[in-house]
Amino acid sequence: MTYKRLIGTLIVKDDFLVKSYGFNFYRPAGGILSALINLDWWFVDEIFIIDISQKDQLSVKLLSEIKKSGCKTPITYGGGIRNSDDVKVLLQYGVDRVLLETLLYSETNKLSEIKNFIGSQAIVASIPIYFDGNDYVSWYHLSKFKIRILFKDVFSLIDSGACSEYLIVDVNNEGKEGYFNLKIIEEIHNLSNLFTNGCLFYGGIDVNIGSILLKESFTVGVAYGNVNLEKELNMIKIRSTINDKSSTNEVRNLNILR
Amino acid sequence: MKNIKILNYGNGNIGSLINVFNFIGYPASVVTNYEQISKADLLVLPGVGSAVSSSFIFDDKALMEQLNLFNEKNNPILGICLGAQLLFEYLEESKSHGFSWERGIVKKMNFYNTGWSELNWNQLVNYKIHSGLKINDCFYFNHGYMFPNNEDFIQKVVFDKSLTIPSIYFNGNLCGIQFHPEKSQLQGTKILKNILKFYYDI
Repeated sequence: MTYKRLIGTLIVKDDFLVKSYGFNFYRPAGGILSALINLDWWFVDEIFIIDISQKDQLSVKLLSEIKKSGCKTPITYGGGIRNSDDVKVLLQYGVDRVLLETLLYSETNKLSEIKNFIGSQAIVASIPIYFDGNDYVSWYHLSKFKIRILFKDVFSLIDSGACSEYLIVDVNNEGKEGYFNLKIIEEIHNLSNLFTNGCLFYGGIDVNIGSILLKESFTVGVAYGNVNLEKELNMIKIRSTINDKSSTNEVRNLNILR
Repeated sequence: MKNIKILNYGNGNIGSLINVFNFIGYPASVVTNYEQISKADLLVLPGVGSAVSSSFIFDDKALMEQLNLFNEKNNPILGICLGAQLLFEYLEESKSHGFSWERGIVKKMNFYNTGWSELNWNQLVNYKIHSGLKINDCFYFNHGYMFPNNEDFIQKVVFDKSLTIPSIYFNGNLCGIQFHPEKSQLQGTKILKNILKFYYDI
């Protein structure tokens, strides 16, 4: 129905845009405003802004930068969203969709509130995933505890109406260009009895991995992180390379832009 | 200069709409009291959200009176996404009525339609609304419900490329857009400019 999406991802920590490596190590990566303007200018299909500061309120500074950017590309925002009031604030600043993680499992009353306010079409479930030696598992935070959850169990969220898409994050390889673990894709294929459509992928994706992921029927988009911050033109290269490699025009064609 | 007013009914990406109208050179502002509605040249009903949380609007008699009067006088009203769906008789999402300015039911789809799609402009290629656009320009959709295609009642309907999603309709003073022009980059700004041209020949 729609083209698959190439997504630019901005990781923000303590109001600074950072290059992130496995969400464990960071270094400053320039201004949020200029990165947003650049991604908007270079026609990514969507922008993910993920605030990993783990503070108990939204950052006014970050939201002001989003508003100032006048971004005309859809923005999905994740991090620190506590309730529907936060979502209301985000919409006023130019955000279009929200990325939720802990609230999906632990505070279902707040999830319902958010769903009733913004609609599940505008909710993306963030699914961090790693291999624990036996299984591919995900987790969510509950108070100070990390709750383990089997990968297969997350795929009920769309069916239950909690969200419309999954952002599958390869945590171990986040920030390592070209290292996205393709065994995660095999795992999804093994879940063929479940409804797995609506997958977005993030973490260690380069042009080649992106092309592979986009060929999967359950993929609706791939999110690029650190790789494109310094060279916004990379997104154009990625788009044209993916189109060259594909016979089916999976993503919007560069030639038809502008 | 046209007086463009955005109705803030709780749902809606007001910030993005104000930005985009500024960008095209027609600054818009949010309705802060209901009397401003009657003075608007174009009233915009934004829409990022669920019909469930917007149904309170129909209980606000003072607001409904102003809106109905504005519509009866054939003033241009632009509904975007949920805002376009609210113009119809009944919404399955909230299980409640809409403004009933258009006939038909807004129904749930069996999938979420999120992403970029081209439109099937067919007979509207030479229409003002298409001016400056290329046939393969894409627009950003994000919805799980869709408004009906009532060709018996509606003057013009543009579908998406797959011919399944009614994407734009015109019916007298009412214009509904299922996708988000304010988030469809440069091609979205052209649509909004064209709508102003369509109603005011500017």
